[in-house]
Amino acid sequence: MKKILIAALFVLLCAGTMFAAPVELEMYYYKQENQEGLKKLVETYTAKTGVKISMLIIPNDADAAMSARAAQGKLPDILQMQTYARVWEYAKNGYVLDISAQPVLKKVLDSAKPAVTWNGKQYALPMDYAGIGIIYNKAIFNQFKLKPPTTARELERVCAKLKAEGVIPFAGLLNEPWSAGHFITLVHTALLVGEKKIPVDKFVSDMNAGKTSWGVVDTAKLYAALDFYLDNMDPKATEWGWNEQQAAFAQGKAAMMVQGLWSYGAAISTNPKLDCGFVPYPVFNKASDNRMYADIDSCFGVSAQSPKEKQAAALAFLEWLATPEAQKIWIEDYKLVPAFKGANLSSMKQPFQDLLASVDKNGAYPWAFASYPTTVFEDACKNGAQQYMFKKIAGEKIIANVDATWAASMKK
Amino acid sequence: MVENKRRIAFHFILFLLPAFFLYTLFFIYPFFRGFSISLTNWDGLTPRAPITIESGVFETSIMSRLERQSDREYLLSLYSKNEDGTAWSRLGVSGGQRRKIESILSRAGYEPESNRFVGLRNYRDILGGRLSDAFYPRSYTLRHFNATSALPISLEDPNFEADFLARLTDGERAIFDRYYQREGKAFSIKNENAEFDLEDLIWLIPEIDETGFIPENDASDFMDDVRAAGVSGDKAAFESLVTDFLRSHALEGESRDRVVEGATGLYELGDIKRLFSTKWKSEGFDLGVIGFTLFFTVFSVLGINLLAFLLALALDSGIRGQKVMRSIFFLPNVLSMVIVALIWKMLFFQLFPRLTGIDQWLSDPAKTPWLIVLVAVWQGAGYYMIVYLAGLQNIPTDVVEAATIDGANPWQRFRSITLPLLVPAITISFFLTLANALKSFDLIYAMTSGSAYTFGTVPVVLDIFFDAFARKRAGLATAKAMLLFVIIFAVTGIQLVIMKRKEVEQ
Repeated sequence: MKKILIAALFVLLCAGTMFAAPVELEMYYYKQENQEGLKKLVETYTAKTGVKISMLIIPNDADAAMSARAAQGKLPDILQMQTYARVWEYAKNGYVLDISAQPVLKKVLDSAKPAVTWNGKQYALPMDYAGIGIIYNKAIFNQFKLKPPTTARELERVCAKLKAEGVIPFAGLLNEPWSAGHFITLVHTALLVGEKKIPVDKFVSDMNAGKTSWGVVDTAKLYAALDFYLDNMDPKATEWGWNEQQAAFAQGKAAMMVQGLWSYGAAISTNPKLDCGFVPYPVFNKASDNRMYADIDSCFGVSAQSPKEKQAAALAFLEWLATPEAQKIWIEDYKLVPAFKGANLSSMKQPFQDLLASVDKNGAYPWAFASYPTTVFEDACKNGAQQYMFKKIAGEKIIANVDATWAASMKK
Repeated sequence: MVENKRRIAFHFILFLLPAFFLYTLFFIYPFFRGFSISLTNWDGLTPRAPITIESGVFETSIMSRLERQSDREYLLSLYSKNEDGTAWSRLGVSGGQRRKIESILSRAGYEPESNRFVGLRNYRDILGGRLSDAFYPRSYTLRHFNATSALPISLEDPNFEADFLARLTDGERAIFDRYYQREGKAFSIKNENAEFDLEDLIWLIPEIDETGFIPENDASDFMDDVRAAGVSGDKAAFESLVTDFLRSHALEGESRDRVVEGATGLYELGDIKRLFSTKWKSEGFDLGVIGFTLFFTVFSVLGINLLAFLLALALDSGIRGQKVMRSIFFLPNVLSMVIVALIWKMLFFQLFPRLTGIDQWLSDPAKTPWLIVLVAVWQGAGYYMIVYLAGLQNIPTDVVEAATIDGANPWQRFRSITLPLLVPAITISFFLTLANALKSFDLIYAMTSGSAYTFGTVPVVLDIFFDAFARKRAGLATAKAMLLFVIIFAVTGIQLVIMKRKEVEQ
């Protein structure tokens, strides 16, 4: 009898502590860069509120794991997602909460909202404004008295001079398909919006209806840009992955890399003495047509499958991200540009100032690829660009593959 | 007799019945569930019992088509209308509730668009050859030069002579010699043909460079058009391009001369560019998914078994330190495939180029399949060495001694005694390596991940993985997985039957 009483008491105590325990959340993130910054953000929040957040990273093929968990109904409470098509996918299937009415969204820049909007409502909190362009090593440029290129011809001139001096112009990343995919869509979007003057959403809806082709741009210029990029990389660039590219740039073996500004943080931590600048990749010969390829890159969504109390705790975390304290960590430690109004970006390093100044002056090209059906970018663009760089397929085949993949993803 | 029957019944209930139950739960049921998924066009993301349904669809296609009031009430208890009335949504539900919703929806005849029944369409596509051409073996042409590319300043590719020069006619060789000269082992472009300098002749005229009288876009478009005319050999178009440009920008004097000189130079480069883009090619062969799976299976099975067999023979012969060596050769098997992949990637990137002077290893599609087989053999041989060792140690020594006394030499002993008595070990090794090779995924994914299609090293399981998650075609992926199961079953079954016949009774 005594034993049963003690056992029952024990069970009650355990149940009691379970109810009294603070909520524990799970956060999933995919950005491999500057993970310490995100961890510091989370630790600060835990120290302040007592809510523990366990973090899960799956870098390159997160889609697989997240799809599997979504199907089981067990998505992590907070999800770091890519914007546009990924958000639409999850919103359409009801996996993320509609947060349009949340107060934190009032603090977000209006220009950032389309990236997370589906059917007129916002489903995630846009968190970082990123650009893909040329990160260049100022020390090398100064050594050879070069100015950062503003037109395509200036870029050709810079590369010819660098090659003559024995410096690799571009640190390339061809061993993984994603960087080539970014490059080809960068040039394609510039040609589409800058030259053909077709807005991205019209292009996407025309492609969805099968009324146009990915080859509607000046394809000769597209292939020429890919050829030029390949010609100015290290001949062994097909062996180079992320680590090799960062190492070559950080050590000063290569003077430039076409990458997202997120990689600046990685390069700086390898070589803290690096002095870098950031310019748009010049596709045209008219300087004002060369705009930064920048858009909202990632956002935080709240899983609609979590129990109500965890959702409330997750929303409280998102609310906290807009506070000056959190933004300070976001800017200085995570080294990303927040999408909130009135953010104080003066402490950000020079390349970020370059990004903002360039966008201010010339505007930006949106990330069209984020609005493509996810399989088109992940499969056809990335693999097509990589195989072109490996000389395995002709340029026309990339276009044909993109069109075919797009059509297949529309027809279920 | 009664005692025996009771014992049998006892053993059945205590051991076999739970085993059958677990087998049904964890194999039979998922197998049939997988089969039913393969009959749909599921994209891996859309649930069968949708979380949100548009109001129009919910009210007209579902609610009005339901006959039973209890069904309608059940749905209404779980789905609630959104604030603005555009959709109905539900919260998370338990498995039983989800299944009930699914059965109600199927009674109403509603299926979400990305998760509906398509019958045997996936199987017909696979067996009928209607999959993407990355799936099948095919040869492709490596084009070393695109007409849109700038002329290379130096040609250092060691295969240049075989891929290009050897294929030229005399006339074509003369064209090449007009532009390039030999420099040591390589070729370099003659100075007057350097494309960059020819372009600068035009770019640096004062009207473009200093005053900006001619917009830069016009200049670059002009040069692009001249280059295109050169490649297609259209002299008339070239001449009209030049006259138009000179006239519309009123160029005279030195600027005019420079533009004419530059444009003519660029036009004349068209000959060699045309030659390069049509003749500088080499042939490659992409195994495709099916081809690579077969390639990997055949070579890794043979490689692992051969190496394991030789190691077992060597380490059973009684040499010094053989116990230590057995542990050493078994060590690679202890490592996880991901660690093995990381180690070998580093070796291929850093060590091999330094040892051999060849720069491209894993990223050279001609080498990658072989390198992966090499790593798989390295990793797998240790385990099967143990199997063969066990088989060798089971060979009765008295038979061997009797043969030695009778005067049999080592080769005869091996062929007539060792080998036949080892057949059970060979059977089990082949069975395991065959099944594992057909299922292999982690090693190849860790070594090549997303670039596997470019290198042509995609085993079927990796293709299924990408189909399900990157291409959002989980129904097709499940169909492929079902067919893979049947193939593995058939292949290993045949292998076992053949080798069982060869087993010798002790």
